[in-house]
Amino acid sequence: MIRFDLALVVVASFCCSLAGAAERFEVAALVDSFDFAAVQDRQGRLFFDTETPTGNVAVLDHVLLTGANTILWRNCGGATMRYQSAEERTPWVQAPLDKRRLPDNRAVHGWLRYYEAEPDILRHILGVCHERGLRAGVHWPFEETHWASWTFGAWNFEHPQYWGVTGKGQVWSGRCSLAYPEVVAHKLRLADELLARGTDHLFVDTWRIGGWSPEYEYVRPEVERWRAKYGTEPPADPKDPRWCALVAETSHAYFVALRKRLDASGRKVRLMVGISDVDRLGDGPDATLLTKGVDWRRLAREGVLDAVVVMNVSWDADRPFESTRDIYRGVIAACQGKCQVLFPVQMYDYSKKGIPSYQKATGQAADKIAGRLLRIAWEEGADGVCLECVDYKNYSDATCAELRLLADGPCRMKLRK
Amino acid sequence: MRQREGRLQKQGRCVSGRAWFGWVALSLGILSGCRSNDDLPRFVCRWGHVQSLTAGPGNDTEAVWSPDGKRIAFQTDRKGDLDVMVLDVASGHLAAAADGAGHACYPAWTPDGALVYAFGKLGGTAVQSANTDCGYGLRLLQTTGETRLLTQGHWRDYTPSVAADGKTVYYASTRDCTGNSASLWRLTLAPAVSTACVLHLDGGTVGAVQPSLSPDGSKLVWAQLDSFRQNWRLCAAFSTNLDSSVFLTPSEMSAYAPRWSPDGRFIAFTGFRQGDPGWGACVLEPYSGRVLRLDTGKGNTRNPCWSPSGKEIVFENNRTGCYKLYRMPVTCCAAPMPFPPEATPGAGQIEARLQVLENRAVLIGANGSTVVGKRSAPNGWMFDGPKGLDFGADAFFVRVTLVVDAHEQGTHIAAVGNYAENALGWQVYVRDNRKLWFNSRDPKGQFVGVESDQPVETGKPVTVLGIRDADGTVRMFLNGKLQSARNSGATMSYGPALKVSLGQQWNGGMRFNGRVLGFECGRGYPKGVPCVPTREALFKEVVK
Repeated sequence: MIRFDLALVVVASFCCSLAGAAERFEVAALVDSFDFAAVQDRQGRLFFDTETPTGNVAVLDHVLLTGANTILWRNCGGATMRYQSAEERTPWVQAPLDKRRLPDNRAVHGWLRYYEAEPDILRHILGVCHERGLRAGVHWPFEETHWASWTFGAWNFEHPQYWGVTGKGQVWSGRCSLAYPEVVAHKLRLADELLARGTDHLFVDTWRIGGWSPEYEYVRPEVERWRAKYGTEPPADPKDPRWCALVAETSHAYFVALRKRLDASGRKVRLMVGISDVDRLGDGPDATLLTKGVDWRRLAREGVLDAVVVMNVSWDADRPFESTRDIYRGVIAACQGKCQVLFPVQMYDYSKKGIPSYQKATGQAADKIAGRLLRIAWEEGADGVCLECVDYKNYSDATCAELRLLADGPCRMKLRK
Repeated sequence: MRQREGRLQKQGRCVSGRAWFGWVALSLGILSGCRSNDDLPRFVCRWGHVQSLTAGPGNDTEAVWSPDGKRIAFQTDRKGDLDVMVLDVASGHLAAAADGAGHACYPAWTPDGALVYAFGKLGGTAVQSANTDCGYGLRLLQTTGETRLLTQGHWRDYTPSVAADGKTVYYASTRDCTGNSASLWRLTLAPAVSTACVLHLDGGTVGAVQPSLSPDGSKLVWAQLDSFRQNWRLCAAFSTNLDSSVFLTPSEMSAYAPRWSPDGRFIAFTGFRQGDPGWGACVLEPYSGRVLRLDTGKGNTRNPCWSPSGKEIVFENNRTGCYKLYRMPVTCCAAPMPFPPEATPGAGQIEARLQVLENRAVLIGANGSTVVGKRSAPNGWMFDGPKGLDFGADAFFVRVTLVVDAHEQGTHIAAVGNYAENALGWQVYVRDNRKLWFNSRDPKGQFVGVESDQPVETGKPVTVLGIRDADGTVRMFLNGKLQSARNSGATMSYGPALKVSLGQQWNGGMRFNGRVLGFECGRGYPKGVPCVPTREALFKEVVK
């Protein structure tokens, strides 16, 4: 069945390229193999051995049931890389070999050693995606911890001098500051590792940020930059928009450097940035700037990004779909056609704005809502949708069928407005 | 010889050229004047030149000096995985102690020259080994060369240290932990091996690692992490009661790997705080909390460990690119501290107590004042402006006796203190996971909470006691039993309470599906709950 679908896609793509006009509407799936690792049946038999090629291909096959044509495979949990990273010094990530990392004690999850797996997980699965004609990329959270001590990275632990600092002088290992050139260089070396493994799409997810915010950026370079700019001490309130804007300048410089690094690879690698809690856009700073220290609108405006991926929007419970559409229009307008835009079809509800919340607000079934959201995105001229994240059966059979029906049918090609 | 003087939170100002004659007896013989600008007696460390001990490929780490001072055991990855090796200090000869496939790590000497270490050999993938043993256990390499298995199971035992009498081993273990956690365990070596958990910590990210017993056996020090947002801090307690502990290092600093000096007066550890060039070897004078960072040259310095004479430390440093072992002479001295008058244990005071008479609820204050509650839900009461709940940054407690009638989705509030500083200043509530929670706040108003070990049963009265200690630690007792979760950093200063709401959120939402049978809130500690020991109480015997 999958082979038949693939053949259809190939034929359709060929026809489109001949026509030279319409482009395929994208269905991007974020894939976190870790979440599949402990899936088991009632007898306790585990379905996916995600430290093996076979297990990961099984994960991929399951994800493709959604109709996804772009796979963004998760490369890390916090700063622990899920491939054989030289930059993050394997294998001492393994608990308890670094006593500064409290172990994950869950069965299976706590004993995974992706960084030691042979063959290299990321190289293998990106290769499989390429073989299948899928867009193959990496989902890279903008974090160095995933809310737990065992996700702290080896490079981070070895470089406390670059750790974040609060306004009260508390150091925090949750993330190294991009204000230090050494940290940027480290991140770029990680990007090199991803490029070497064949990623064609690098999706930096600013929603997954591991508890970091501009609150932890009272580091020496940033404080000195503030003093030079304003002639005063930095504000005590880390949510001060001017402070967040200052931190965003540093993030901006990082994304510019990342863009250059991807371009230097000699092949076209798409830089995508995920944003969250998107509301109607005004002139003032938005949630991403104030809580993540990233000015995505400037990044889009200056052509640094290839794609903005909206991960959730702050829709209005009284007019769920209408307000969603309004917000989508604002984002597309803000991007001014300078980059692609993808909108969410989000099964998870961490944000209280995912499909379950739409269900609560509308009384409609999940599959219908998923279809409606895909269709709104398509109608508004988006370049695609993003499924965040595709785990084991979290997109039900009916939802997968609805998504496939649209993405392979009426919404197959982008609607150019 | 170089010298540095201890500091507390503020940097001591050194005035050169002022002779100070208290340290004439220092074996290193060089005197220099230095005086801090605080009134504390001085704490001085002097150290000499760093000498390299190991070279070559790989990382040599976790060094420990043998009791006779002639050998140093350490772990090395020079062959790939971790092995334990022993260095003969005089000759520089290296010998493998525990090698081969698998990780042998964290060596610790027994008084008779045997080695306890952690060993793990994980075979296959996590799925393949899910139902088989793949943990880290402790082993004993005896002086006869035989290896004895001490512990083994589907968990991780690590960072052992052996008591001076050689009879017990303290270590970190994930045994019985369900979260991202590690607890402290004690193993009795003779006559038969037996193990017991001595400090159970469990939860989101909370754990204790690398316990070290004081030479006289009276106190245990370890590194503790209370939340992924916090730093590792050194903690200490009387070895007879680890549940009542005190932080030895400030929250602003990351500190781990404590090791007692042989005379029990100082603790060497790995530390980093803002402005430091990297990890450093630090010495703590535990009575006053003063910390000195030793100058060991370029690179990160970690895991300092005293020689048996107390005149040297061995440590690892990565100045060459890999971690290698080094030794350095160090002598520390601290003048006797003036003893503060023995403080009367802080008797708690109940500032607000619920009294329900038929359909009328009253909060009775410590001075007999009353606030009549407004019925705002079938099982909810709202009390406006109760007096006496302005705890500032001091310790306070909230005790609620409640019955959960049925569990429901979402969060349901049993009690909340509403303050100008934060609308949800403290709370007792039940979450989706059916566990009880107590929370306070940090100075920025961020949530700092702990949950119960187990889900709360429906239909049965339970008494929750939440405590915010003056150092910002948050603890919870359930029916008198201390729960394994801990959190810290809850140092918000509380002004007068605007409201206390029982059975619902302060704005009327999140109604509790059950009954609040009793409520008390007050400053200090309630009767029967020991207050956290002070550093002075814990260490005065050492200084004497």
